[in-house]
Amino acid sequence: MLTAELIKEKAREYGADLVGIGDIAGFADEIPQRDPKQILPWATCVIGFGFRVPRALYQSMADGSQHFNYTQLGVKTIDEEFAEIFLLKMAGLIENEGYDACVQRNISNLRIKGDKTTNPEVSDTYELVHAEPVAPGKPTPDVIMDFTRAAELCGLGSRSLRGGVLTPQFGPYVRFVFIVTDAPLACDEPFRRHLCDQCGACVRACPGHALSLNGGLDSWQCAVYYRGAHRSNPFMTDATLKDHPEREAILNGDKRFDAESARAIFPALRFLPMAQTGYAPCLCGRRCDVACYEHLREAKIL
Amino acid sequence: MLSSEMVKKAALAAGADVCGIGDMARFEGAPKEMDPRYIFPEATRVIGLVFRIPRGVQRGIEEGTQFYQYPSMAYGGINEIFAPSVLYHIGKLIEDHGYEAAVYRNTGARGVVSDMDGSPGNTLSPEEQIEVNERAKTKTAHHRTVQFTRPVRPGSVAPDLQFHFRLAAVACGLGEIGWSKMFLTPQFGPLQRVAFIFTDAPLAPDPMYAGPALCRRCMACVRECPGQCLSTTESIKVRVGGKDCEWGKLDEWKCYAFYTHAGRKFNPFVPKDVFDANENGDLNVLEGKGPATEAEIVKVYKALAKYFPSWVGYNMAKCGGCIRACVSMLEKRGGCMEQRFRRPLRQGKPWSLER
Repeated sequence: MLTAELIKEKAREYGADLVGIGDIAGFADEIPQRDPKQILPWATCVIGFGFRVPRALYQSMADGSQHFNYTQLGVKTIDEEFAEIFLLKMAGLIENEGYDACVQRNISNLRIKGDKTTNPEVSDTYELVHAEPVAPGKPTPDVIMDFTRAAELCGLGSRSLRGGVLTPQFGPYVRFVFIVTDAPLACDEPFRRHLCDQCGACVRACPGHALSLNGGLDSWQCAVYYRGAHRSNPFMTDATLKDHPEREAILNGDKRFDAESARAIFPALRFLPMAQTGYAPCLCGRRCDVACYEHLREAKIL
Repeated sequence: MLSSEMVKKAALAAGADVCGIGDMARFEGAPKEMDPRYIFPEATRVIGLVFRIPRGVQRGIEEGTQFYQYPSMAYGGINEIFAPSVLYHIGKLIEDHGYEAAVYRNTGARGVVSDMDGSPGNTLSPEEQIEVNERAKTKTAHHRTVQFTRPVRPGSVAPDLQFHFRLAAVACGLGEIGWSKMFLTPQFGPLQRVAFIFTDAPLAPDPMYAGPALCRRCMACVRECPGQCLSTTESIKVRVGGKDCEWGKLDEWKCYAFYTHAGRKFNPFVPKDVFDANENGDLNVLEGKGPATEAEIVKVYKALAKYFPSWVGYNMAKCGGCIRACVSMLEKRGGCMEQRFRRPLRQGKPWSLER
């Protein structure tokens, strides 16, 4: 008998730090391209799993001593290895009871048609601009769930100013995967609190001015400074962008980037290896998350 | 004393779904360049590990709404991450008992002969992305060419030796080859991947699979292949460990083209106009206007890869025709998957773009 309790027990045994179950009814107002029911029309729930990112990975970036391990262990290993093995094991558990387990790993490099944002963590992203529905009434593929919304509906956390998830246990230091299933599991209540109190610490911390209290995250601006286009990047040399007419503005975080100008400058921002994995090394130190975490601790929200 | 039971228990605990053990003598008759006995000549047993493909990764393709998870999770995730981690664990167990454990993960596109047509030096594989731009720069025949490989000693075979995974799974008693050329197990039908360990540990081998036929020869795989890549009448026959294996003749190059790009009726990521224009005849294979060859496949790839880019190294499967057809028929008519799921994979007529 597959129960919510068994799912949660096995999820923790297999390595998840957080697990929550969201009623599929909570997704009723989701746009079709984000709607898990478009993947499994008779889904009953979505199971959310959180994996902490070790805090020391952020600390070593803040200390200025180690940047590569955050990207490798805090992003790539969790998304590409740990969570994949975890999802495959959980899927087996659910299938053994005769239910579907539509595993949802992070679709890092694709954007649904109409989504003009990017994912700063990867070498580039592609909007599925040419895709079309396979039949009337179907959404344009690929359906890509809104992971932050899903985490809220699974009762695991709330949306941050940056657009990610804040959890009471780990603040922003956490990554998520999901399983859409038709198993009849007892669901958790959606997360009702707002952990982000709009303090603006993340806005002030970003060396690229990619965040604002009103506009949230400018993902293309973020992508440029995530890769280290700022003066505080310890790998920066005098040769970086040497002949660029806007070098000073760029390094000061004053220039605004869009998709075209960001992609144009990416080749000049290769400070650490990227080709092996396709993940861009994080050279901003994720100061937004570090500032957020510190604030949440000081405010006793964590 | 290491026993088969210990190995199987450890394999399942580490994450494999099924484990079978075969006698290396069952590879007798294999072509020399594909005979795993050259990898580790002292090996007496081959341990086969089955890793299920969650049916849920096919659900989005069946609905026509999500294609990403299948190649990412069920190709890359299993072949690159999950299976190697289990191989590592079982290998350590075997070594701790004083025996050799020659672990062997899925190695498509690395052998001395083509995955596609058996010709020497061809290493393109439908599962693996072609680095088109790099090819153009270097003008080498392939991004991972092995055409210059040769044996390192007399009597040996040229590296890297790549054996027939599906037949090795048969040799481990795990199941049968279906008409589709997919490997079928009683537990999961066509939904699994496999990995192996060759060892000199004196393990008790399992018998060859001798249960009810897993493939019903219903030919759903033939009918639902978007490229008509499988023959209804012509077949390939081999004998493994005394068991006859037969599958439909597959046009592998054509399968490559349709697996990766599916054609006008089954690829929702490429506009109809692109197929209509068929610039330079690049899409002739998909349009049924010419034979499938390596050169023609590269044309298709160059023309269409940009419409669904991936940086994971695996091609994004677009068709899945044979595998979904097989699952849905096995669920409906029996064979090996009936009653596994409370709802069948297929709930209605499969989609096809009106183009």
